[in-house]
Amino acid sequence: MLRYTIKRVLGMIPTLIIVVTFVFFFVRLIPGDPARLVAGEQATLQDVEAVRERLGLNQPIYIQYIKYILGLLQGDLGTSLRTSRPVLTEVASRYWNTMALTIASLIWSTIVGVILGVWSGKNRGKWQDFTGMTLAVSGISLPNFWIGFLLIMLFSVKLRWFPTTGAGSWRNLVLPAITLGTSIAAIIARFTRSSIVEVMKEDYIRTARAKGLKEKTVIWAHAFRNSMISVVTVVGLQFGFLLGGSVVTEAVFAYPGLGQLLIESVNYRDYPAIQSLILIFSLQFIVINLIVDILYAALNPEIKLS
Amino acid sequence: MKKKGYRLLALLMAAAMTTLTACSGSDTAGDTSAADSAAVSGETPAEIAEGASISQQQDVVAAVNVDFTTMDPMDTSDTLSGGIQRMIMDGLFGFDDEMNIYPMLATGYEANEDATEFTITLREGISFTDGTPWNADAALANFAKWDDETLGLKRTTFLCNILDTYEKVDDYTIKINLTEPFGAFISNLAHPACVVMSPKQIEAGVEACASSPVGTGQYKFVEWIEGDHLTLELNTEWWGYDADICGGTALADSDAGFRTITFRPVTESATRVAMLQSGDAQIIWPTPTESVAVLEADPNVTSYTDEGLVVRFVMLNTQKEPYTDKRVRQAIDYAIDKDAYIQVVKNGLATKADSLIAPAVQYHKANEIREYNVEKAKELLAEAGYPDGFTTTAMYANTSANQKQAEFLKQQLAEVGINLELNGMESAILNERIQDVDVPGSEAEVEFYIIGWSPSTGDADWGIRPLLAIESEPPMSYNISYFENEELEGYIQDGLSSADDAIRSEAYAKAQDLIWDECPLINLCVDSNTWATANNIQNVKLYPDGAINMKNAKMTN
Repeated sequence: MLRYTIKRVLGMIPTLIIVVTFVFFFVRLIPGDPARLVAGEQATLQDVEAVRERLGLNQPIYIQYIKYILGLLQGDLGTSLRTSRPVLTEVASRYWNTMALTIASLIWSTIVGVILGVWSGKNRGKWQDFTGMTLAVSGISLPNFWIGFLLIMLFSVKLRWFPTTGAGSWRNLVLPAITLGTSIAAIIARFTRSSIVEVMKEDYIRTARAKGLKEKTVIWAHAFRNSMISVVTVVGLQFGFLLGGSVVTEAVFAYPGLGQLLIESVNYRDYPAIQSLILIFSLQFIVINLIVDILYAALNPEIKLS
Repeated sequence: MKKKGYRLLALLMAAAMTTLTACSGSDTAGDTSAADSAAVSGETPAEIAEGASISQQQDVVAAVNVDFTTMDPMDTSDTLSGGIQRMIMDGLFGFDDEMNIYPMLATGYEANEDATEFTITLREGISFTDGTPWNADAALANFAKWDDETLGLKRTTFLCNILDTYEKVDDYTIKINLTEPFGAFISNLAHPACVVMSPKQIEAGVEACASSPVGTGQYKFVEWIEGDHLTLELNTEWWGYDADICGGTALADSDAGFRTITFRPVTESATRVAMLQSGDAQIIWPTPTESVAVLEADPNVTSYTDEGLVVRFVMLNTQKEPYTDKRVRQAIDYAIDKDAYIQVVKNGLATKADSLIAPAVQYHKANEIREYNVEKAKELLAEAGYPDGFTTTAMYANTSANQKQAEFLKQQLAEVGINLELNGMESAILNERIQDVDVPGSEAEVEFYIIGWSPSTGDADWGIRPLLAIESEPPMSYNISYFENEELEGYIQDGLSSADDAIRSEAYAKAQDLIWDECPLINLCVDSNTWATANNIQNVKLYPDGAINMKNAKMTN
């Protein structure tokens, strides 16, 4: 497994080089002059030119590219065009906020989603199944912003249990995590259900039952473990997406995460910030994919890492 | 049969969820109507009631609509950051609540006749919050920064083109020589970009200025976590509390101010409103126009509106057919029902514009508004050779507010046969297609451009010159009407080349008359500023330019 992991980690390097290069040139193809956007609405041409020079945007593009790559190699993500602060500083605090929100959302949504899915799956066609899947469809269908405002009105404005906005304590996490996790719990529930339904048809389940094992053991020790492969895939994918930040949930709760930063950066054509964020997102996806692959092998020894 | 029963149960559950949700919505509505009688709106903030001020021991939270960009005044192009900087740093001159200029760190000035030499006397007995004394040396350090083009700050051209020499006459007097006559010099010094930073901080470099400003202001900067919050702490030693230093009357009551103010950027309007209603914030601005009614009905909240500086208008490319003809431009003005525009587009939160600059701007002159008159508009179009109207394209940044404006204008102009095609686009792309083009007006793509403008100096010069002077045609600045009028150029120069109020007032009055008649832009409305506070917060206002004004703000029991 170690050899496999090292191979995969080394394999990341060319992918990242392609991503870095592609993104660097691609963001510059988007119409819109960052110097004018940074200079502001009432800026004169002279202001715009002064800003362009300070930001180094008047240099030839290959020089800018070389500087960016040299900076990256030294761990320097560049300076934000919008705020003139190091991108690393801007991303760092938001990164941990996004990570906290992602983990909080995934933990509850995985637990609830799996329980609901198993409950529905093992009772296929019965009322438990209909109830579970009605909840799941509702969870997928309700828009995030709507759930968010509903929670704010109920738990912040009426009951005053949780703060409306901000980050920093667990209380700040509760409402955004419920909002963000609702649809994920629903997706996980649906995947778990189908998986359990499939697995329950397998011979080894019949064998387990024939051995006289308790139904609980049959479900959790045999059916559940095998159905987890597809669930791990979904959770892994959702983890990757959530780490990119959720624009809607972050906006509703004024939660300082990466989604909002990406939108602001794109609006300002803040090249260094866009490049860094996309680099981070790509890196995360690659790492998560690797972890998911390793988990596959742990869950089902038939799958070989090679 | 059993299966059907469970299906029914599941459906019932879903229905129950929907009902619950609907109930929670109607609850809010119920509260709203019950509290109607307690609504207060548009009032001047009341004087402190019987309860004593407990402000200076209180921490308050203010929710704002965007994040801050920088704390370096000369590098700031947004009103929000500028407003916060004004709380930390004072300028040589400042604006009162109505945007009238008054001396702050200066006590007065003298100008020569052609507005090229200004002698400014400085207020004594003031220190920066880092202990550095305020005197001529500190003032000159700031002038040197404002004059330094190499720093590449966003407001670089604000002063650097006109500053020639600046020297110390004595410890509390400085003399400034300008490269050319500039009557609006004192207005520029009153602009938030020209608030004064401690020389120690200037010496520490632009990054220090941008991230940890130090001034002489009512508040001290504590911290700024980008995207999350910015915190200020009361400077109880602020000179504005001292009537002796202020020359007789203190700038704020001795019990005004809050121990700390935390500003939180909350882009989602409904969340700002919820923060105020839940008590998580005590002050919010701007209030979303669609929520003003809800806030007015909340007994725990006071909602305010006041006329602002932003004028909304349509710029017509006067070098392109059919807008080369003044009658066509005037016809469009007659064809738009401004009252309906304000009700439909602005939810009633705006006033009709009687000039291209708002009434709060210095040297504003009211003109006679062309009232909605479809017949007159058709008549003018027929005279100009367009009896059946024409097709034209509106360009604008595709925000939802702009889209609403554009659709309203399309409907209105259709009444007189003008087919307005809508071409909204992202602002960066719009800039590239409208402002970054270097061609004569007749070859420019723009025909009909929807925009808003506010002269942040509060002076007529910045409300007229960037929009209609020949020198301001794209890409230089914002004369998107490509309006070229020698007579107007003369008035603009007259206004610039004197610091004398009477001369400037006359020049700008003539300029506004001419612009009104020529109609290179169609004035739609003056936006109102909206804000709201918890009931126990008093004296929070917005300056007409939209920046927060909390000098005398306090909290009562």
